[in-house]
Amino acid sequence: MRFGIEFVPNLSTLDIAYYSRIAEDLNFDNIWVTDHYNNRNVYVTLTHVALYTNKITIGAGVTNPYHINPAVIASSIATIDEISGGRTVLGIGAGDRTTLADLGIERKNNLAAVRESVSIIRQLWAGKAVQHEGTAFNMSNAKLGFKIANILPIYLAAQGPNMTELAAEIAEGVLINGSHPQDYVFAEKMLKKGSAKSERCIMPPTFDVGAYTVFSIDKDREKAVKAAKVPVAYIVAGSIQEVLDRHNIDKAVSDKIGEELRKGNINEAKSLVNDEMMDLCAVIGDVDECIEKIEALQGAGVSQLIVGTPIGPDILKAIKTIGKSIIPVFKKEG
Amino acid sequence: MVLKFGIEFVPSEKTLDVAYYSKLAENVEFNNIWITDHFTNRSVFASLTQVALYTHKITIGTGVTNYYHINPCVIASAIATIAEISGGRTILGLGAGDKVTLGNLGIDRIKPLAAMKESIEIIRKLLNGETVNYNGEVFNIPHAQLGFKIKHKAPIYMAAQGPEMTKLSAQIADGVLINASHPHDYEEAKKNLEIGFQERNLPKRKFDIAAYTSFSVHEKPDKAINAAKIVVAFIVAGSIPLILERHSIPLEEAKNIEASLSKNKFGDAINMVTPGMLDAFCIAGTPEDCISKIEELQKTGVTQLVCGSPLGPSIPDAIKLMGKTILPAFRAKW
Repeated sequence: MRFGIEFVPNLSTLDIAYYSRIAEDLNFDNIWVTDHYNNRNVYVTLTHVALYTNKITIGAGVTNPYHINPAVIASSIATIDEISGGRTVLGIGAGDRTTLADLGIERKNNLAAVRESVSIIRQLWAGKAVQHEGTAFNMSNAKLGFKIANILPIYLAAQGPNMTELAAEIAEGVLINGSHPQDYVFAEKMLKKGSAKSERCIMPPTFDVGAYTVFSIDKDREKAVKAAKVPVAYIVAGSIQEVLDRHNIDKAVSDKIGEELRKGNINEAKSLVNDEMMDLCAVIGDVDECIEKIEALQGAGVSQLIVGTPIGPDILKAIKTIGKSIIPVFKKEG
Repeated sequence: MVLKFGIEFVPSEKTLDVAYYSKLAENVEFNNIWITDHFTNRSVFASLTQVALYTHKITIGTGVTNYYHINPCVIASAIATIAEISGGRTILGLGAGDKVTLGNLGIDRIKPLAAMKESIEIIRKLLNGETVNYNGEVFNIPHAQLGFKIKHKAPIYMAAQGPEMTKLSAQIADGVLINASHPHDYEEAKKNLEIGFQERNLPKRKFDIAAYTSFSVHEKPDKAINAAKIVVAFIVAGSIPLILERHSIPLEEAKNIEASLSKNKFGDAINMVTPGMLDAFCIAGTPEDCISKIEELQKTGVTQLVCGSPLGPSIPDAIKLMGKTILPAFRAKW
């Protein structure tokens, strides 16, 4: 099992670089930095992280081809790879619907946009002059002017069945926003369908199934739960019908939570999050409880466990606890 | 008024090299570093990050980015991130982008003037911490707000070539970047700037008129001139008839150069570059030659001299030579 960690640049890049350094020292395998226009810039953050670390894999987790042109994504990720000495991966998805809507961006043809972006980005990395006539993008003679050392692994962020299928068809990994084994039992079916289309092997290490979890660890369970409430509220509000159905969460409640979050009524949103939602949508607890849940995810086919926001009530303490008490348990087995 | 000195770096060079040159430029007391932004090169924001971390007092900025390949809201947060990392040493240089490069990406430069005006308004609001609800001709942004505190608001400079863009810069920007190397071009620009200023209540001395020149210096004039020839060939090929006429360059000569360049016959193109073209489109020669040309530009009202590509046969040698000879010549007077 590989361990990833998500950092959201609502923190300063210096803080993230510092946490990244600690995560590296504690044998995490992968750092993922999120990309939303309202936070600090993902490429600036990744540059800072690249310069402060020396062996950990780093990546955008995830960017999207709607607010930045895919050709700019290609050269930006290639730049980070050069700075980091070949430690970079690209996580790409269709973006967050609400955030992009705030910018007036409609996510048209999101499957096509992601598929075409991956193709364009790979061709650019290969040094080709891209001729692309698609439904989302039209490019003629687009070519990078500098040499790329590596064709980098691309991970797709997937929630729905089609995007999950697409990940297995065209990508080197998938990032699934799910914290419950059920999510991965379901995903596996879609991944198999996708890999059958392209006849690609989706077993590790060829393909990485990343579980992008809401994670909160603390000796005091109450504290861990409290820290995870808002992230779980966002997950429930942002989940598509299929995911809600799978977990028996009422769509009306999910909508209500979304409405409260939009109005900025954080406490009302939190009060609508029940224990069941917490259990379904997050990995929460003390060391033993987290280990148990990670084992269950591993059993369901997860090959990279990404500890996502909030990580714990105290980020630094949580990173150290995970690194000292959880990662060694799984690395030993491997 | 004291003439400021800026220097342009193109990230066709590695970010580490750009950071090294930046450090040299800071040491010899340049005031400003400008990094270009094209998808074909390394990421401007990754480059600026490394430059910010390697320097401590020089002002750094995009020179220039555009709101077509990156959403203006992403530009706002990216420049705010650079401002945070650099401790407030940041300028945002904004332009309508390069027609050919954006054309390769299938991007139409829709209504460049309106897009510029709207982008600046949107970015300023975001940097002020305001919620943007913007309904423009080009941008429709229903509800955008940055999620982190902005301590340092970057001044915004506009890249301008045509008369309308130049007027607009005097109306709304904190400075203008004009791609030209000859006093005639600045006499023209000045007329348009004056028109723009009439509609604005800003002390003129606060507005920075930056001459973004093609620059090449070496103690042996031939070496300096030879290094500049290819850059001048591209400028001649890309210039509109109005500009060629202003400098008495026959249209046919320009067309011949364009034809050679489009066939990648760079040697032929270089051979067709005349002394008249060199005089019109670059500052090239010994330090003394450069000083007298800069003095002419200063007389037309230029307040910042930006040394742009190629700088000289060797970039680090050119920076050191400028620091020893050219910059002190202008400092001494004040």
